[in-house]
Amino acid sequence: MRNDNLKWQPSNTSPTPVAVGETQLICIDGLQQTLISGPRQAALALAQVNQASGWPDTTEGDYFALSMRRDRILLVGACQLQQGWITEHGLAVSDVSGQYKVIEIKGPQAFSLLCQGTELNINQASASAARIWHGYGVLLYRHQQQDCFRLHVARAHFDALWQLLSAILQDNN
Amino acid sequence: MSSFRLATGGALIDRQQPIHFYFDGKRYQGFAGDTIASALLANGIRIVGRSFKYHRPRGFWGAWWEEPNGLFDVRIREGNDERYLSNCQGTTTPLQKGMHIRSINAFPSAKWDIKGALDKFHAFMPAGFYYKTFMAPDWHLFEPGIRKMAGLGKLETNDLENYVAHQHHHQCDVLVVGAGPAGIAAALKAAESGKQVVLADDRPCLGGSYIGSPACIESLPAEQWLQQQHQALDAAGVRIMLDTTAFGIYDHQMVALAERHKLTDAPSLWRMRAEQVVIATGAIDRPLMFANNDMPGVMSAGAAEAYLNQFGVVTGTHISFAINHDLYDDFLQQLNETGQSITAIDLQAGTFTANGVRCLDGIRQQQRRFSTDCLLTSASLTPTLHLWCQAGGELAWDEQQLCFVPEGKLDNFSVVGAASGIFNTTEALEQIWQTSTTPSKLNLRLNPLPYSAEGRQWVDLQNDVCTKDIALAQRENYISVEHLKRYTTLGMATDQGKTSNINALSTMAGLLNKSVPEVGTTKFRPPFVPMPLEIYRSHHRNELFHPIKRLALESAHRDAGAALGEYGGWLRPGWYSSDEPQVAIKRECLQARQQVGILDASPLGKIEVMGPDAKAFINFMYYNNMATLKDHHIRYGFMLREDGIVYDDGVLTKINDHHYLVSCSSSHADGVENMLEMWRQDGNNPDSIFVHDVTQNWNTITVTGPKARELVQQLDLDIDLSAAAFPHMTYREGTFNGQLAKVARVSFTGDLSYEISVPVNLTAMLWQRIHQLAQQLGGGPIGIEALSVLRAEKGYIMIGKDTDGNTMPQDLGFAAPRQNKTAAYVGDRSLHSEVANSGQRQQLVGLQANGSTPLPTGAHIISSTKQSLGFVTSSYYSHTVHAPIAMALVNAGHSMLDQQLTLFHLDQTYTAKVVSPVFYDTEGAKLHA
Repeated sequence: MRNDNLKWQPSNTSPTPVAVGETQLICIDGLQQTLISGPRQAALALAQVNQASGWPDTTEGDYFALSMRRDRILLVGACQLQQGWITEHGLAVSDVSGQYKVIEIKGPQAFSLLCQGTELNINQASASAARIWHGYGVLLYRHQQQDCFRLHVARAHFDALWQLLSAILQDNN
Repeated sequence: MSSFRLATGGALIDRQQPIHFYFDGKRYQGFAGDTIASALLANGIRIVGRSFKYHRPRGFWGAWWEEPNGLFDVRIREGNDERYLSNCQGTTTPLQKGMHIRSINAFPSAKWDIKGALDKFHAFMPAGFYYKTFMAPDWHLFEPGIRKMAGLGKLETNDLENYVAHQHHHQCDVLVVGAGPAGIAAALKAAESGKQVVLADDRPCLGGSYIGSPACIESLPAEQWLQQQHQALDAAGVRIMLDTTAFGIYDHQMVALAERHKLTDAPSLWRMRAEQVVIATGAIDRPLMFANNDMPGVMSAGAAEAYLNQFGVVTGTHISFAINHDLYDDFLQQLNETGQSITAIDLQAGTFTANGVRCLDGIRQQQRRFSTDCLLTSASLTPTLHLWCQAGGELAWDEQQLCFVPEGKLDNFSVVGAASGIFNTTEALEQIWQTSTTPSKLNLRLNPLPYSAEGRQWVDLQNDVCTKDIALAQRENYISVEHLKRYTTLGMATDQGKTSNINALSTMAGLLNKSVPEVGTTKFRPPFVPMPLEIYRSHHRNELFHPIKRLALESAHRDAGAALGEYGGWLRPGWYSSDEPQVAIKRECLQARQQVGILDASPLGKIEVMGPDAKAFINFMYYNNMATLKDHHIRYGFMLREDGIVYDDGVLTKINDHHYLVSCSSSHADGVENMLEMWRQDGNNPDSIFVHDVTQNWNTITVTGPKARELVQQLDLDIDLSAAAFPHMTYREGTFNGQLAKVARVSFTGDLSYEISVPVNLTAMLWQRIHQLAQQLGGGPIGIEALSVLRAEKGYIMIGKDTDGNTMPQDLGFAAPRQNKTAAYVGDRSLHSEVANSGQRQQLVGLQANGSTPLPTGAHIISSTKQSLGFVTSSYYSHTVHAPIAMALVNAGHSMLDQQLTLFHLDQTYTAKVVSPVFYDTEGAKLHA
């Protein structure tokens, strides 16, 4: 039983962007995220998207789906889906907008920065965007452009992951 | 004067850049490009350290990573920054300006060591003498002194600032480890076939043992051949990583590479994933066994060659050699040309002895005696197969060459050059280029090497293990190689038997009159050479070493004066206010019991289970019968492991037949999700059950106490909160600020309680509102410490605290499902085992201490014969019942009600009475209010 207030820096859930050279680290707030589990085609149809992106796919726009595993996608973007078990589609739907925080890493050093935490190979595709990055379970994909990457991480680990990314980015300088 | 530097020569040194350094307090000069070892030898220093056990003088044996003796503590000043590095291997550590080098295991210096006299008592200190000598009266009496004497370099507790290792991941088609001629050829061949190739070598330039050598490779002078190959490698797009050591091979061809930088900077870690790995790691000299073979001046022939070619250092003025093959004939000729006297020892003329006081000054063989200050030896060559073994490769004993060579094939791995047992460079290259198929064998002059027990012959220089120690181990039946290692310490410490393993096996084989393979083979594990722990840590330091989960409301808690601590992997408020913890906890308990307490319960697991098979699956996962649970009702239950042990407890909310919400312990949320996923995919139809962990999507605030309803009423959740409309253990959905609010009427305090869950974006607003209302009602926030007291007053358990790895549900008073539940569930069978039915199981009871002081948590309940009957799991002073309260797991505790027990803890004895664990509101009136 002890007071560890000083052992841990206060949590900062909306940090200001970090820029080193042309490489930037940005926290993206306010994205609606919806977890849909069930047959892939039914999930895509319900979400009204053509595909669920894996690695090294590049997502476009503000409404897209990420492939998490064979029977699960994460829908990113505004939608009005019924929550819970949807019998007619055989799908389970849960809002997880608060479950994951999103970090965007973009710039010329973004890829090498990410390579410090996991094996990444643009030529080696993965059907899933799920990865372990430096021990953290994340969803990793490219967004809009080739050198812009997004990480979705469980909210409770956001502080740690942001600190880690910032430290590596600044050390690389 | 013994070793010295020639006026010319030395491929790696820059004679235009002299460097001054200090060794054991004296100033010396070296050159840029020197290692510590080459610089010391160039200055004629022969004794560079003392041996681990007997404090015998030691000099350099090797010239690279095989060196067992030359370890140093090093202090370097760079501007105002001083760095201290311990146990630096002198043969691989580059010399730096102003470096202060300190010999280890020696005081005041390596040359004059006050513990040197220990060697006089060597007869009383054979292998295992610690275990035999210091048993009585008590090992702990001797332990501090022995520990003080043991060890190698001295550690400093100061952290090295900015000593941060970078970690990288990389892939390639082919990774070639070792850039000697064979490695270069293998890399070039792979690159020319279109592969993406990485060539890694731990030296600062290409060439391996040919660096600076006047020898020829493929009819060209080595230097010219290496230059040509370097250009060809560049042209073929080979990535060359110099100063980079491959120190470990892991699953799926993941090779760990350590890239050295400046000595004061941490090395970088490269995790290289290669489709093919080519091991071209060469071979080292096997030491020759003879009496006093540990004396400074006795050295590997290959090392002497390296010192001469790479650093221009001649290792003696009267050099003799005892070499069992002809691979060094050219080098001996080269050495002769430097003008030193060279004397050959005839190995076939019988054993010989090294003589000298502190350092080698002569050799005696039969009646022959002669002076020498440097004896170069090589019994044979030992291929460097650590990586091959780490990858799972087998070894075979080559009787003709007296060494282990790779046996069989290994998918994705190959071995070339001397590492494969082909010691002739030309033939090794022909093998790679496939221009020859039958390489010759090493022609040993003496085979087998005779075993002799004459004198003190060192097998392991680093751990001071002699042949007599192996003989002793054999007499005491420690004949398996594993036992031999542990008994004698052979092959331990930083060199891990690189020079000693083969001789140890051969010695044991000689003693047992068996062949080497019959005695055993040698195995290797990563790391190949010692690595700084920093290489594994990298940025995982301080807060990031073991990151803790953070609450969305953390800043609100800090503003409210919370004392934060780690609870179940989350940083949570332990108590509020700057008062002494016990004062704050008492106030919070009384507030919650008398008015209203509010708690951030967000980490509570929230896992949705959905699908047409959800109902049956849930019933299968829980110990309790969940099949009868009605919609929007809640039931408490256990999840068990397959062995029937309680894994987690929590409440289950049924939304409908196809949708359940599992609420588990905060610290078990991830584990329960994994368990649900595992069983979903094993024995169930995974297309009919889906598990969504939404723990961090919903934040939960608990409102508890007699005024809880009054407070929640003012939140306007659009829910009828009356006891009749919203009874205990039911669930309702309302709205807060226009968004869904999930409200469960469950209690972990024993009082009227509501758990209100809202989306993360509303949490701060809800907390602020509830906090304000609580204060208006005379209440306030409570931390985990107060909650722990409140739940203990009611007899509610915490899994892992009030249970252990043996606790089954019947031990906690939940026996009915075990007897009555007919549907299958996880752990069912184990609950009917003999162990589960034992009458002496530890069962949960309450304890009423005699007196006003709480019992110590962890105190043992003891029998009249002082045997432990169990232990106190939770203990507090309850300001609600004005008495100390406790729970304990006690043998057959349920049958001991009202009995007086004796407890023992840290030399103190206590007494207590066994009671029901429910101390508060035993009828449940407050719970159902």
